[in-house]
Amino acid sequence: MEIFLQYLIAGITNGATYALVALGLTLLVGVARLVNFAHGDFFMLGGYLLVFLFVDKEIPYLLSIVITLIVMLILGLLFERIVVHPTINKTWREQLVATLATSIILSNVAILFWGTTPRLAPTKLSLTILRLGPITISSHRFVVFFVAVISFIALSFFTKNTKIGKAMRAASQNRDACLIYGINVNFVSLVTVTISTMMSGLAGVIITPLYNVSPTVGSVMTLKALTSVVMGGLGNTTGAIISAFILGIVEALFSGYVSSQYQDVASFVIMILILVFRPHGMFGKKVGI
Amino acid sequence: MNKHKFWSICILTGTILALITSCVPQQSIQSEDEKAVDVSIAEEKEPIRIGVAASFSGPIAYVGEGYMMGATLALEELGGKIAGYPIQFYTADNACNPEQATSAIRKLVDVDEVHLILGSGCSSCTLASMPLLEENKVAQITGGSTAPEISEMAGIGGNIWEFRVNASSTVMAEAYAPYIAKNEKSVFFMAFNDDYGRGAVDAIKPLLQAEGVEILGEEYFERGTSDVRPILLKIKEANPSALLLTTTESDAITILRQFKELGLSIKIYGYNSTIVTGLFTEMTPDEPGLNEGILEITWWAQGMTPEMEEAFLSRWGTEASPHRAIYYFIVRYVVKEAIELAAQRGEITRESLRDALNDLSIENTPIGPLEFDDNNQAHHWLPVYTMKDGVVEVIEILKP
Amino acid sequence: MKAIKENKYSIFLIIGVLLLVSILPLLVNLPFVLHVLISTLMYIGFALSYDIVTGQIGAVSLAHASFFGLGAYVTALIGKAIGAPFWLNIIIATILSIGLAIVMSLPAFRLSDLSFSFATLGLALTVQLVVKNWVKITRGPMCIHNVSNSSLWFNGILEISRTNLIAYFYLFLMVDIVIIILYRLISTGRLGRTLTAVRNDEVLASSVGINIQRYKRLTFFISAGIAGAIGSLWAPYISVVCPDYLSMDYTLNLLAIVFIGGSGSLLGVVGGSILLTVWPELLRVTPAFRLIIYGLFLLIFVTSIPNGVKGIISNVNKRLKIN
Repeated sequence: MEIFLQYLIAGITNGATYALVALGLTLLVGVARLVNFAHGDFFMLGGYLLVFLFVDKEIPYLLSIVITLIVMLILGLLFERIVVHPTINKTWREQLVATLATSIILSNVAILFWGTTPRLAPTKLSLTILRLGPITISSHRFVVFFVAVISFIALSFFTKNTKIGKAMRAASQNRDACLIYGINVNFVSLVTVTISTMMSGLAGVIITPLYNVSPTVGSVMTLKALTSVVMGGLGNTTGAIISAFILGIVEALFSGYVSSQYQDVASFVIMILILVFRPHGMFGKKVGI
Repeated sequence: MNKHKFWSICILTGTILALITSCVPQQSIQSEDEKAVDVSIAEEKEPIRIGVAASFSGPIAYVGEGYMMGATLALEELGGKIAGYPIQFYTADNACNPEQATSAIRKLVDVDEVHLILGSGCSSCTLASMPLLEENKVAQITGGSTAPEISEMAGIGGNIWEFRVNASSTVMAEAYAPYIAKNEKSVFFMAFNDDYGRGAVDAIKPLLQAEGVEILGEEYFERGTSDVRPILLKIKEANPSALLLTTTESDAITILRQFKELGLSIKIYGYNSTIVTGLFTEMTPDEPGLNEGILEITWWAQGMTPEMEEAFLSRWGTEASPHRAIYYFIVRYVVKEAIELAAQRGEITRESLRDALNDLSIENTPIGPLEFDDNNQAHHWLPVYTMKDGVVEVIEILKP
Repeated sequence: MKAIKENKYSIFLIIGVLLLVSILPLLVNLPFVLHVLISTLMYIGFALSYDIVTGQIGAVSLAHASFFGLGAYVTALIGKAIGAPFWLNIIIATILSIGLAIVMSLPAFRLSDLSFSFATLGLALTVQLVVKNWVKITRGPMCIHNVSNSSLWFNGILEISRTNLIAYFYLFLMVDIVIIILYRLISTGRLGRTLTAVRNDEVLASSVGINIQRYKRLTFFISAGIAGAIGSLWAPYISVVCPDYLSMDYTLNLLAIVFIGGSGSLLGVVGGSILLTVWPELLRVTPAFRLIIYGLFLLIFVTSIPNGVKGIISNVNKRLKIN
């Protein structure tokens, strides 16, 4: 029982990292109907920016987060203008190739700047290990968990209560109707993509202290986030978050009790089953963020 | 989509590319890629072209980058010349994929017309390249691939063009197993899910069983897995007396951090791993002692070659590691002596270099005398070493 | 998606060009050049087999490399066991690939569009994981090396050695011609006409009694079979078969070829394959830069050049006609 509890906690805390990354992606899928294969690469850039600011330039952690977010904002705007905007009216197949190309470019630009050796950025919190009875855990994992929860709440509040948020929800349901009602779909897309990019960068800054960052870390993260988003129902934020936690727990239990080599098979099988039997995700809602 | 837009995007991307080029830090080794080191001044002799086929992209690009660091340093120490011949390096990326390895070797052989190839750290690529060496009659010196099949297939009666400097996983297992068996009753394996990790475990498992050590389990994971806590918890539950770890620096950091986070206290043995190195310590400045007390075996240990280590640190600003060191040794000793021998005998050609490698017998290198046996396999010393108070301590050097 | 209007004679054009290409090995005898040509021919066949699904039924399968890899593994394992001639390898590889496609189609074809792609992505990664970890049979990541050479008959009689590049060149050339004819038959024949109807208006098509699902699945199976056959020929050429053969990298490469070339167009896909296989070999820069340029190239094509190579070709055609 004690070991089960430990697996469960490992799963939940790992699920929190997936949730944080998936949050930005699910917004993008929901509003812009864009499956962004470069999402994880923005995560990677966030991680590298943290290494650059916090480790190399010795800027305090919180300030590093703020600077990273500003840089991600600019990158998000560029990404929308260069990649998303020209393909927004094409099919998702072209969008897939376009974001894939972005992913290739970003990960190799990272190689040019930071080399291929993985970098670390441990913080005081990530080095502090808490002991709760038989369970020991790095205190930074709580940071990840709380940032995930807070981002989720903030995002929900933003989409439900602000004007632009409402426009985003409207755009996610019916783009053509938005055009008729005079909602500036272009602007909505710009805001959505930028927020999504910033959230991915934020995830990078928050999660990197626990692990390390290398140019290829992005593709792994994209896959995990994508799995959560698909499981939760495309564009369903609540669904994606819950799915991310389920994914983390399933992976931990599967590799604990069955086999670590096959842990990804478990999550893929679940994803396919959900796709077949609950085509609109675990929680069944067709659209909406 | 109109023409105007097309050109504006072209210009934009061009600018971005130009920006990237100008911003890239100059110490990057890859920017010196083509003709990486061309320090030649006197041009009396035709340069000797040496190809490096390694992974320069993909998840283990840092291995290829490390090889180039070592090779470049060695060549610089030799003054850019061997036996009066200027040396030029040509690189080709194989991305650790056998199909791309084929392209890489063909490019080096046909386009760059190299005299000699320094091979890949990925066994699958080395195995894929071997028939091509035979076809083109060009020798390859390999320094990182550990699959035992390579030397089984090379040498007399097989492929005479493939030479391997580093010990295979079998050789290393034979040297290491008695060490573990002496002190431990039961072990658990944790290794990369690739030929490197699986090959290592396959080699040592029967030897340990024969010595009466109980095998409590084996777990394989992908390179770059971020969360290994479930595996570590499983190991905790199995409660072996020792954990045998086969990884490289970056994954080892993740594992050891989470090992510490979960409060495990199992003795760790690095096996074919690169944990007990200055590079590992350098990468974890905030977490001293992460690799304290770990016993390890590879082809090179920090402290065996103080001069080289110092030179490496001042040239690249980062510590040497087993991967980075092996190519230093290859260029500094094996390639140098082979070219000198071939030059003594006459013209430098692909064939004469191969014959020179075949007859090579180097008395003194920091990793012992190097000589290729009937299977074109060198037998260097194997150091067993540990980390004690932040310094690598060599416990024993096993000589074949 | 509109119906594909393509020059009736494009097939003759392409086969003519390929015949012209066929004298190339007599002129250039540099193994590297031949190797690039062979890779290009392989990718032409591979991409066409992929486009049968993406171009004809408009479904983006992300599992295409699984069939290719399965074909390669089947050949390698049969080669180790009995040393079968290459035609037998091809037949077995094709049948097993179709078998895998049938299994995959059970969940995948209950879905459409994006969900179909995600399902195939999950299936492809699952298959790769199984191949990678089923060490007893596949040797897993240790790879199967020394795959026996293609031979025309049992036990190495009339062997095409791996180093005989010219033989491999003509082998792949012939395979390509067969695939091109098949592709043409599928896109313009009875099956093709049905598929065009389905693509243009699924509801209308089903209302006139076309069993859409059946046709879609059939196309998927044909495409998988061809990919398996190509994998079966490719394995002895590279001589090592690794789980990498089933990786997403191959599928993503194909996706790039098909969308740069112009999905659903014979000329476009062939052009895209040539473009994306030949020019990275010509770029002599560091890998990171090469990949960045590759990415930029993809991006510019997708965002700014409608219909890719196909579009450029038809543009040139129009201009020629005007002048």
